[in-house]
Amino acid sequence: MHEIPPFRERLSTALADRGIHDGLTDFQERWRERRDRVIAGLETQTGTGFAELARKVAEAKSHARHDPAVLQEFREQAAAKGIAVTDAPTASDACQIISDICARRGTRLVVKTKSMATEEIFLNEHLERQGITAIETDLGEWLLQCAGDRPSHLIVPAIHKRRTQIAAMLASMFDRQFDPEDIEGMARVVRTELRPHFMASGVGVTGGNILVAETGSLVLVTNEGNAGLTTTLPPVHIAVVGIDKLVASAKDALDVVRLLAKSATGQVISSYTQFISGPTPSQPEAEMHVILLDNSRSQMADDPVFDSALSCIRCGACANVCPPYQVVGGHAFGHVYTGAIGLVTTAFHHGLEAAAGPQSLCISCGACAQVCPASIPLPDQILEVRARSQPAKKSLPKTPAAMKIGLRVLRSRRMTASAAWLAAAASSPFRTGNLLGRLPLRKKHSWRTPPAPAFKPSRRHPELQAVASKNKSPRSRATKTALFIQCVTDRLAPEIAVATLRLLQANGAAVEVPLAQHCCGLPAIDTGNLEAARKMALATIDALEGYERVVTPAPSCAVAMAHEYERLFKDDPRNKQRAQDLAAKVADLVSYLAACEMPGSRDTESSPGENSSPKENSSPKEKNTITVHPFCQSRTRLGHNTETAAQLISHLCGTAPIPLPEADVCCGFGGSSSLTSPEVAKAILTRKLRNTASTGATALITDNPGCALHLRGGARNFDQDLKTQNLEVLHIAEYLAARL
Amino acid sequence: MNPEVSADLPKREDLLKQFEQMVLVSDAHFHRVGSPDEITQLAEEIADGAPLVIWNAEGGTGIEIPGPQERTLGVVTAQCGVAETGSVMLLEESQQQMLHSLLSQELLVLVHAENVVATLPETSDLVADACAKGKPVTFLSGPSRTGDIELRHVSGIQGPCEVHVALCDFPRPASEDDVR
Repeated sequence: MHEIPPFRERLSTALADRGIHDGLTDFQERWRERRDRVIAGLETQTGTGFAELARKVAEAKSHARHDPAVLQEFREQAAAKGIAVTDAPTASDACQIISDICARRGTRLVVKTKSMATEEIFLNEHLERQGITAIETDLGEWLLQCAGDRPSHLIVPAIHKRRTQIAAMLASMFDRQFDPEDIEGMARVVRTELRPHFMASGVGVTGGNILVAETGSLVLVTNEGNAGLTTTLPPVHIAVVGIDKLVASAKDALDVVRLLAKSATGQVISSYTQFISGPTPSQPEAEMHVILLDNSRSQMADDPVFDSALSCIRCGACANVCPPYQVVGGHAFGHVYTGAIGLVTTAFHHGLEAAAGPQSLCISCGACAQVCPASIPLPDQILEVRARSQPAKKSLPKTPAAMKIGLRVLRSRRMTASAAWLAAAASSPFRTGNLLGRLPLRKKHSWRTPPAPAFKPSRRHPELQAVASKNKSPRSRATKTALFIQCVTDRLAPEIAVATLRLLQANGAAVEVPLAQHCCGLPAIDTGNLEAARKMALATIDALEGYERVVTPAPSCAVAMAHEYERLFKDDPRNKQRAQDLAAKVADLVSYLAACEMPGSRDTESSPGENSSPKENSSPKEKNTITVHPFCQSRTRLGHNTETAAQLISHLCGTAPIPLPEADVCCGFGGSSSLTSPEVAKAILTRKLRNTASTGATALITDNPGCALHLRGGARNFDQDLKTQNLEVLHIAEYLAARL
Repeated sequence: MNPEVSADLPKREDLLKQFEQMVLVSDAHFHRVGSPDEITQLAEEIADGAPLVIWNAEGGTGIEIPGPQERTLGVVTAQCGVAETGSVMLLEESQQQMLHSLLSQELLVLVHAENVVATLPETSDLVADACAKGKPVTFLSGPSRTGDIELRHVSGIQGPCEVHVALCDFPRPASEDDVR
């Protein structure tokens, strides 16, 4: 029906196109600065905060889709104003209704505004088959239509096109030269080019940003003003609007308007916000139609996991903050709908198979949920789509064999032990220190130096052995702190486990290392293999149950235990309770130390020496030579802010780390995704290393072992002129323990 | 207007200052005029010889659509101004009339100082009333623009290249709204 190439092909094309990466990097940096500024402005000028308004928008939209009276009111009010409201249960129903109207009016020319709903139903292709020409009037969409391309971003559809490509295309279309530097001249071509089409067309097709039930109105938001012409110059106006766009009142609609442009482009508001409440009366035989598009939205509303995704206001903020999206763009990161929301809604509008491919690109950093103006829990929903798209994956290229074997081995502690020893032995010839510097890797992985597997896991280190325990007595566990090592740390970075133990003991904790512990199951959760994940989660709960508290140097595992386990056992009340008990006790090392050392004020900057003396042995020459990359999920899932880890270091060592630009952006590790999409991981890492290099720091400290290994291996091998080869990358436990 | 929202607002002049600032943020030009004569003078200056299309003056009907490159100055009166966003709210009798704010290359929007409100939600009753009567409402915030080519800001894509907002800060004639 449509011509969207398979995912792997889209990904290869995207990775080969430098324009995508450059265009989006520029956009993301500018957008972030502008968006944060206008959101802060909203708060200072009106006293209304982003979180409060986002919650209001989510509630207003949820209320509208679950109270049938709201939809009924819209139908009645719209009908009273002469608007014909028609239900379209499916995409093809919607297409048919529109071509029927065109046929009845005898029109062969349609002008259109940018509308994701019409992209969703492949309206242009349908009209073309009926012999009707549809002309896009938004500049970006028009350029893409002329180029035979399709949008890669919800708001800036042609973000992947560079000025030189556009100049060349316009030159061939109009048979005259276009200067690529004269962007103004190229952009204004549409003013003269499209005006005759506006005048000659019989039907104007728009989407709709909002439907207002109390007045039966349609709200359209644009910057170019093309919606104003599309809805006025042709005698017939057809709006294709998802049923999710409904709100009860004009007041609710204005709340959406308040957040839309701020989140989309970092503008305070778009140039044109139109409320349309009926056909244009002075036109001969004027008609206005609203086509209420379902296309599986009802199914989403009935699904407790995905219902909230219908609160989306289509601002694209989730794409604008997404590190892998910045590398590959929307053609690969999504289907018709792009960005994080595209990874979710595609499963419903275009099927699980269409949704399955791009899933591997998400690095679970959680940045999308932080900026969503409708409070949608996108990371949770993406993980659920992954789990549900497991069967659909059969038609896709297979998961790399090594990863499959790896997951299988990880399920058993004994197999992991044997495999790790074998790996350590086999990799001996390639070792350089604790990295595999001499390992010949395939080209796409050649930017990294993998960590060398340790011959002895951390649990066999004398200090850990001294507190190792097979203790299962609940009474004895109740007064102890369990150290959860993390499988990666145990085998690939044992020094982090030892450092953590020393810090806990220095803090007075009665530490035990439960020997039954193994992998928490996160790799299985990440790949959507929930059956394996449950088994590993249960083994972890068994190993840790009853301890007074559980501390881990791996915040990623803390996230799994604190947030994912409950979801795994949602249909199993007994284990759900056990998971909740564990969730209440587990802490990542930074949270634990911050709570011990800075009682009551994790978020406030406490000057060194306020609560306890800074350690004396930090030499003055160390000052300002470190910078900190906080693990994304520590912020997005564990309640840290950007400065939590840096403040802890500052407080304990008296050394204030140099602020890291874009500290909140992922380093590209993303669990298994750095293995499945190494090209994407490399590009994200480059951004992180470039920012690190700009600080002049000699050491980079992070709080997640996986990120530390990824950054260490990347910095070591880096082929660009960033001089990171000598950058020391440490886990925060190593850095702090060395200063005890 | 919602008294709750208005309760802790800055004083009147602060509000007008904020409106001015946000109009400028929206890339429109801002003018403050103290008398009807100044409006005429301002319009003539901006038009600089181009034909004036005074639109929603009483009895304005019919529409001559200017060509896309034809230079005209449209003049419209806004229902209110919004300090939060620097928007002016245009309320017309029909969608057709709304065309005027789009088809002129330059647009002068008059808004009376006493009709400036602090926040967008404060206009919700006005919006709801107009929509209930089937009248089109547009919040106009700066010129017609795009960032579709490499995010470079270009104005005048379909609508006006330049938007001028004139804050009319003078008492209205008593006959208009204060008949005793």
